[in-house]
Amino acid sequence: MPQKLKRSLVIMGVFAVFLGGLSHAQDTTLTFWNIWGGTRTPLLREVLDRFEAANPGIKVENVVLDSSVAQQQMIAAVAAGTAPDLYMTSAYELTAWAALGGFITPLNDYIAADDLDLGQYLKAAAIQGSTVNGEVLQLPFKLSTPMMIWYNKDLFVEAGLDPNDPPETWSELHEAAVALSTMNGRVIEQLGLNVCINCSDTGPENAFAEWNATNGGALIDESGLDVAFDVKGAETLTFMTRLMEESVGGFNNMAAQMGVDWSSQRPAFYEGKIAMHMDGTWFLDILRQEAPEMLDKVGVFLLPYNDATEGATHRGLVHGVPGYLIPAGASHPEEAWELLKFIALEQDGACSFFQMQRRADSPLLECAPADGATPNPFQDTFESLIETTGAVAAPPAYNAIHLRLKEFQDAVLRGVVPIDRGLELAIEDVRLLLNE
Amino acid sequence: MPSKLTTKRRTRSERREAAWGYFFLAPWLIGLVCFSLGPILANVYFAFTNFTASKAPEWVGIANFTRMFSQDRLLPQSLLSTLQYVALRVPLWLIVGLVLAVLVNRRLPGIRLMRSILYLPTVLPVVASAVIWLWFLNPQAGFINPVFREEFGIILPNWLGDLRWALPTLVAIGIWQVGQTMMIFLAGLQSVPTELHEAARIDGANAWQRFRRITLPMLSPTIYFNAVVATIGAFQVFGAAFILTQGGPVNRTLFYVLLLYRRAFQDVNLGYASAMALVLLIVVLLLTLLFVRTSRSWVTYDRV
Repeated sequence: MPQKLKRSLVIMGVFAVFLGGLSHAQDTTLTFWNIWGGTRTPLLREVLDRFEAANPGIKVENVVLDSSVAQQQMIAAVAAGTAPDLYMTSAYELTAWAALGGFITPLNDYIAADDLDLGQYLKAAAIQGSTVNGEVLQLPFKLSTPMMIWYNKDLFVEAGLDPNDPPETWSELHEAAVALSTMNGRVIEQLGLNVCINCSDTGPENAFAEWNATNGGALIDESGLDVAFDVKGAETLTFMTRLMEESVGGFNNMAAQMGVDWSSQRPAFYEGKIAMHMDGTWFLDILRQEAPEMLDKVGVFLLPYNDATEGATHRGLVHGVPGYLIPAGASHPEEAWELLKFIALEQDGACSFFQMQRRADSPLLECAPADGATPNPFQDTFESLIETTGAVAAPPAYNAIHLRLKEFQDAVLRGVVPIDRGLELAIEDVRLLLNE
Repeated sequence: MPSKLTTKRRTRSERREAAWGYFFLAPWLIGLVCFSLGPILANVYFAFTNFTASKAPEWVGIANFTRMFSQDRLLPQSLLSTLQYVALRVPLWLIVGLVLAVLVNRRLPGIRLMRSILYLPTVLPVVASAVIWLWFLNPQAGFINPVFREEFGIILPNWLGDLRWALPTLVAIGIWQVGQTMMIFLAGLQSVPTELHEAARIDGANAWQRFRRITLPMLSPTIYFNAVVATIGAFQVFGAAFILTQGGPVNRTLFYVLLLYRRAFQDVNLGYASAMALVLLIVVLLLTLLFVRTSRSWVTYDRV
């Protein structure tokens, strides 16, 4: 090959490599930490691909974390200066991190620069739960909702109950739980209801808090500095304890045979060994995947309220709202803001992701089910749930308070401590936590 | 008499040899400093600060320690749970490890395969092992409880969710990975001179007498080593409790290190958690020193 040609080819090759490197160097890669695992991962990837197509030059690395270690990894990353560009919070992390300071990039300046009115996109409760001391610290990705009671209509019929008229009040629920429980000596052949699902773990569900709300109660008073569950707490726990004792011989007997959490009780519900099961709105999609044969025989109703309390009605009370935030020290905050708007506010991003999951708890003002999507047979109940749920800000110590209340209800139901003494200790500890 | 020239050459060669020694030790030394010593020293510093990861640490003196011993409601329970775990696990660990080692210390067909099978759980990651046990012990969908309940009408406890059984169950799950201890005991057994056993047999000693009077004393250094390692490991119990019980039910399995983790990453109080870690280090060091002191009375290194 002639020398000149060789030299030209080499120069062209070097130039091509340089250009290729340059184009990669111009791409910004955002790291997005979240806990959208399992079936949600490919759905989210689809949404992120759409964002990338609409924003050439920005790539999104989707990093799925396990929910049990996400917070730990985030804290370590902030300490090391390697925080991601976008992070998915749980409902109670926001105020705790806001109180500590130095974790979160406030969004007010970005919102003002884009002349955004969040009220045009999001429901008021979702905005309120994402704002601390006037600063918008995250954009919500869902509305927090309490659990509901999913029930097996066939078992209702077998027990002589009307499957189209599920319990509305505590008294009716108690009667149904007793009627739906069958025992052979101490062996539970069929469980009516576990009134304290997930009570022994450190997850976000808090049955006592939810039953207390249906009793017209609250956990924390309006000042945020004192407890409020002292008012209705004893009554709520008495209801929970009595229901378990009179239906299946006590919480301990149920725990020994049926387990206490979703990992044990969802399979038992599919097998028809549990008649009523506490779970969230997301359970519909789980049923579709794990037990589609159940869909025709399942119904759902809101947590019943205490008919002995004057004026009580269906009522949910949640603390905090989960969302997406830009950590302090993020490498590309401007680009992260573009991604945040897309996955939290836009139809093609935020709404589409929820439509793909067939969820009903989107915080967007407008996010109807997609055309041609499988209709949600429980849409009315889901909408009632959202309408009857109030949201309040979680105080900074909310996670510790939540864990203390879980420990307290677990101890009372297992007979470790009497109701009054347990309540007294819990009130004392929560007051300390609120005022630390 | 060596000349000055020879002495200089030896010294230089010795220095060169030492330099090569340090050169080959360097990777390990760097690892020790970066991944062990450095973090330990940093931990000691953070224990006296209010470090929360998002801001520079501020010196607070002994405030973390004062709070630990006067205000932390969960600390007494975590100490109790940990001590119960150590008290149960260490003796069981040694006894089971020794018994298995005695059983596999034979010339039988397939004995090597048996040793490998018994060692296998040791190489399983903690998380994988915990998930297996979670399924196995599930009161509804597991292997044991449903059979007893449905076939015999016997209600067994919810092993990981019962107030009395959760901690012993975690101990039993830990024993599953005793393979490494077994192998160390096996090496110790195989170093006992056979002539001693033969002589004792000739003198009329039975198997138990030989085991008690010859094997155990000769094995004392191995027992000592395994006891120290098992105790240190037991104090650091975390993985199984984190995955299987999360400290429940009602904090019965809230071990010290699990509480430390919560204080660090749920309460976001890394300074306080560092103080807890420092206290644990001191306690384990003191215990180890106690072992060393008392070992003089029962550990023998004689081989004749």
